[in-house]
Amino acid sequence: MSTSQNSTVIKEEIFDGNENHINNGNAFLVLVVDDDNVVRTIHKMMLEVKGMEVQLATNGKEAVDLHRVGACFNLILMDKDMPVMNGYQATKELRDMGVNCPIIGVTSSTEEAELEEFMEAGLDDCICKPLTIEKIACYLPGVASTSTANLGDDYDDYEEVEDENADRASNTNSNNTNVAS
Amino acid sequence: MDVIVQLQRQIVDFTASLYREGYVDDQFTQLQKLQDESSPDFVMEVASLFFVDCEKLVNNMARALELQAVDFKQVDSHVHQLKGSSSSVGAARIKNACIAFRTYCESQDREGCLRCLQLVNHEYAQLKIKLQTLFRLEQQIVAAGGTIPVLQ
Repeated sequence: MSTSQNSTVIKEEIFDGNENHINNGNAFLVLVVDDDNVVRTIHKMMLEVKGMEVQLATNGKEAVDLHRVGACFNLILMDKDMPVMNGYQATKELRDMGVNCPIIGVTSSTEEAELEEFMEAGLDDCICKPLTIEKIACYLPGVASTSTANLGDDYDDYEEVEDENADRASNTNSNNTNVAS
Repeated sequence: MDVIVQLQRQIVDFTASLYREGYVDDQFTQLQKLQDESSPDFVMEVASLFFVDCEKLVNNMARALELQAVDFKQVDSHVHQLKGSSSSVGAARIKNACIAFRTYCESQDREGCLRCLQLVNHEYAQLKIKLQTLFRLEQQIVAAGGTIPVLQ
């Protein structure tokens, strides 16, 4: 779906007579921004089975361009590492444009410094892949969370990040002997 | 009916072995739960996309590692992407191989990277065979009029 082809439709849908943003009736609209086709497909399905409407963008620039032509979302799931424009740049730009819906970083990065930097772009939360509905339940209408995770952390899955860092450290040690030529 | 029950048992046993041997993790279960009458081939479609993705990324890694002056950041970027997609489909062994791979990219160890590439390739080939077997069993059940059991 091209932005230019749908920009008129998007504008008609999102503005009422008082120039207030509306959102395609009562649909909860989620923008999934990820350069990986597999990830986009999975995230789209996960959200649609829960009744969300999903729009896709393959990089940060597409996400920003959608907003420039007047698109409006209830939630944005933003990958970090993407070509053309990465998630950090896109998030910063969207916030500078005045986009104030929740933006959740979804990344396979586990470096604490990288995650903190990503948060500083203006994210509301940052989640490690794989995405599950439980991890974002609190941002979705009508979706009960079954997770016992502490949502008071700056970003979810901090413990998972630490576990993975520990895995990498032990992989390095074991792979020095196991990954043999 | 016996045929369907037998096939269902086969699928349950085979799927259990995929988890037991670490080929897939809970994320794969999450994908199976997304599959229903309106999207009966969802898991197979996602797996096909993943295999295409994986092959492309492995080829990119191989080409990057062949160069005289290896751009380890570029290799790492491909590994990072594969790690993301493999974790999203629940391909646990490939994901773990990518985690190890990234440590060699960070230390700019070409030989280590090449060994990891070999491992990733091996795990990908194994997973592809396993999942194709699973999908064949599922198709047999559906053709026989049965339903596909999902391992909880």
